[in-house]
Order: sequence, then structure tokens, then C-alpha cells
Amino acid sequence: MLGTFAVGKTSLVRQYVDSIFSEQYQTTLGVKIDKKVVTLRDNSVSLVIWDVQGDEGGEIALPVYLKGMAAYILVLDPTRAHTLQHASQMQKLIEQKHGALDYVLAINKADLREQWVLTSDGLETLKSGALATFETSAKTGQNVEQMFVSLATRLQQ
Amino acid sequence: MPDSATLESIEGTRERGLESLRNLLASPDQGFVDDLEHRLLTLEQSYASMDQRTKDVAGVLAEAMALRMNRDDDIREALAPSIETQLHRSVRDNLDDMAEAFFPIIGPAVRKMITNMLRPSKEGAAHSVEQIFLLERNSGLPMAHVCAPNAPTQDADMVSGMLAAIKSFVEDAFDADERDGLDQLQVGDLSIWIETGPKAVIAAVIRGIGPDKLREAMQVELETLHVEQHGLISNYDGDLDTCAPLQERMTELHRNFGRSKKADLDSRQRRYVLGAAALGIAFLGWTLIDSWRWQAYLEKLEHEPGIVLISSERGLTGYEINGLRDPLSVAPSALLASTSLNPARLHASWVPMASLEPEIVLKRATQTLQPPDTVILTMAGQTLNMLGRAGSDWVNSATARALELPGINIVNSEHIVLYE
Repeated sequence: MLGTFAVGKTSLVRQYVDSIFSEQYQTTLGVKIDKKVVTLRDNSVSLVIWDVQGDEGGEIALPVYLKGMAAYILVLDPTRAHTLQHASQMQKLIEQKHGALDYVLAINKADLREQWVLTSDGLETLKSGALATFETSAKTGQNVEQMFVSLATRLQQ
Repeated sequence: MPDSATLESIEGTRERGLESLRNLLASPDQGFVDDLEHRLLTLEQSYASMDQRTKDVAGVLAEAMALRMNRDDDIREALAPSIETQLHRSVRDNLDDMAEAFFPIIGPAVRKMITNMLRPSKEGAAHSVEQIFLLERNSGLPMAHVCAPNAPTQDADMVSGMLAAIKSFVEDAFDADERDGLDQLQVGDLSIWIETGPKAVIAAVIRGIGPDKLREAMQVELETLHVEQHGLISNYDGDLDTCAPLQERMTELHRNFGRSKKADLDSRQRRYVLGAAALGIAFLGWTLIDSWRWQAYLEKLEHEPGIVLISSERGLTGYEINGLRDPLSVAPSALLASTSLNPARLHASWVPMASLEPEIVLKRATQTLQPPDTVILTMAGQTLNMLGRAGSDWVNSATARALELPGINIVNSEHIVLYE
């Protein structure tokens, strides 16, 4: 889970994953490990989710946590335009250091659509590179399961 | 020529006119002056009231202290002697209360001390390997996981991830070489040994003191896995079904080093060990409290007039004390009764002496001179003061005998009223 500080990464998954560690880990270690078991048609896939602490400047606070990741969910907050720019920076950084990994783009806070300030600049590029794009809401749960299913299906292949 | 009544009337009219004029000129400021007077009066009353002053200071005391303590150490230095004295006094006077207050600290401290005392150097110590993880080095995904029966465990995927995260965090935060990175975590008697290879990591969760041979075995196993299972480890994609050979190797490692012989003590032996440890803890706790009581008793003796301590010793078999004692001083056994020490364990040896401390000199004078009920004796330095009413025979005799007593150089009988 990657994205600028306070885009809602932790809130987005909180109700939909198994968790044994306190959210305090994220503020102390910079990461919290959760797990999501996604049941697909033929079998089930366990996603071990590293919920990495976001940085307000669009940097990844501790890039060491990206080692070994199979794919990632890039979260942005459409009510804050700069989070799109930060998401683009992160995606490019990851591509440079870890290659073209699959990612799902989560445009969060779908329940606050009237407050969205996103422009299409940069968004289409991010969308085109993504495995899929979902308008999600931590509040209503909109598209959260679908997002995980999409990722699990891809990883299974 | 106006008559006197007319003159008085004119005078009255003029006075009233002046008064009106005065009010007219002064009235705008009068209210302000009255208000000032009222506020001044209120302030004076407030200042004169101790209760009010206390309330005012109480309202800002904490903030003022915090502010000053941030600025310099003057408040700490001013308070320290009072706090130390009071703490000392509390230990002496309210030992049981203090022991109760310190009890929650003593238990863990004693346990820790015993753990350290009993911690053997290396081999042969009691240990139990509760879990072994084989992790893919970069992702932290588990390739194998062995858990001892009844060992507390959580989801292996998440624990493995967190282990990898902690390892990465420490190596990154402290700029450690990955090959020499985090190799051990320790919390109380639980430790996690970590051996890192190019592609995989073995982590063993150990309760107790793990043997060096386990560390060596982990290193050898890791090297062997990198040679014999290189393809499997290098291409691991998270599918545990492909990892059966790795699981077997970790199970074998756990079988060989899972428990020490000492950890395999049967339950009866374990109960003996636990019982002995409990007795040890109880004994150390009792020793600590007994030591406090003994120190408190010695302090009381040292502050008692007419008693001089020369030596004291507290041993397992009892307490021994040697000193000088004026027969007129308080009996040490009476002081002992106010502590919780066992009198039967005390062996005291007191050499008699004549104390020159004013309290004892006064007692001696009272015992020797037998003053009538109408006379009060007091000591000031080496002067014995007599006060009250007495016959001249007693005064003369008492003065002469008093001057023979040690510690009295002057007898002052000016305040005695003589009667026939």
C-alpha cells in the first residue's frame, strides 16, 4: 500500500484485512503487516500487505520496505490535487528501482466526489500503466474487495 | 443694615451654592476615584486574607514550577534536600508502608537478579525453540515454518513479514551491512536468532538460553540450503506447496535442537526447580525487608541520647550489636519492640557509661536530687535551672549535690521562691 501521507491507505484496508499488529507499528517502524485472503474461483490467494507509512513530500519514507514486493496498490486522495503528483513520482521511482511491477490505482474517497479537485493531467498516464483503476471508499467499502480480487487474480497468473 | 437672620440666610445660600459648584466640578472624576478606592480595598482585603492568597498561589503554582524548572535547576536543588530527608524519615518511621510501596518494584528486580545470577554461560542451559521460520530474504514470505506443540503462535505470514520489516528497519536505520545486520532480538528470556543468507533467512524463536551449537547449525543449514535448494529458493513465488523439502529441513533442525535436556525435565523436577526459585525469591525479598528494618533500628539507636553504637552486624543467624549505654537512656529492647525485628535474634552487648548529653544529665539530676513536686528542673548547656517553690534546705543541698554530677557546672536557682 503506497501513497502520500493521509490519503487513507490504512483506513481503506482496515476493515477488509486480517491484522494482528497495532497501527502504532506504522508510526514507529514505518510499516504494518496485514494479510488478506482472497477467494478466487479455483483457489484462494494470501496477500501479505505491507502498509507503508506515507510521506507528505511524496517520497517513500523507508524505501527499504519495498524490497521483494510482488505488486502494489497506489492510493491517491482526489480531494488533494498534490497526491496525484506524489503518486506519479512514487510510481516512477518504483519503476526505476524495482522494474515494471503490477500496480492497482485506488482513487480513494469516492464518497466525497463533490470535493474532488483532480485534473486529468497525469491521471491518465497513471491509469494507463495500472493493472486496473478503482474509485474506492473506506467509508462505504466501495470497490475495496474488487481491488484485492483484481490484484490476487493477476498475482496468481 | 441687614439683621442677623438675613445675614445667616445669605451665608447659607452661599454655602449651598459652593457645594453645588464643587459637586458640579468634581463629579465626573468622583466615580473614577470611588471605583479605584473600591478596587484598592478589594485588593487589600484579598491580600490580608491568607485563604485567598493561598488560593491565588495554588492557581499558578504548578505552571510557575514547570516554567522555572524548564529554565534552571534551582527548584530541583531547593526541593531535593526536603524530599531526601522526608524519604529517609518515611523509611525510618513507616517502614511497612514504604515496603508496600516498593513491593511492585522489588519483585521484578529480584526476579531479574535471579535470572542473571542463574544465567549459565552457554552450553547445557535450559532452552526451548518455540518456532523456526525460513523466510525469503527480500519479501519476508515464509518458505517453511515449524512450531513447537503448545507454543504461542500467530499467523506465520504476518509474523514473517514483521520480522523481515524489523530486520530491514534496523539495517536501514543504523546503516548496518546486510551480511552483518540484525542477528538477534531479545525480550526478557525470549530471543530470536536470525541467520541471513543471500536468498533466505532462518529465524529461530528461543525461550531460555540457546546453545551455540544451534547457531552453528542454523548457519550450516542455511549454507546447505543455498547449495542444494538454490533453484527452489531463488524462484520462490510464495507457493508453499513447492517448499516441502525446505519444510522437512526446518523440521529436522527443530527436532535436533528444539529442546535442551534441562528443558526436558519431567514435571516433578520442574516443580522442584520452580519451588526452589520461589523460595529463593521469597528469601531475597525477606532479606531485603529485614535489612531495611535493621537499618531503621540502628538509626533509631544512633539518634537516642545516652547510646553510642560501636559496631553492628546483620547475619543469617541473627543480629549483633556492641556499644556504650548510659543506664538512664531508653532501653534498646523497647526501641526494638517498635520494629518488626525478632528480639530473639538480637545479641546486644552494652558497656555502661555516663552520658553528658543534656537529656541524660537532666534525668540523672532528677533521679539524684529528688526535687519536690513544686520544682521543675531544666538543662541549658551545662547549667541546671531550678524553677518553682522549695525550702532553702533542699535548695542548698540540691545545689551542692548537683555540682558534683557530671555534665553540670552551674546551678541557677534564681527562679526558686523559698518558703519556710
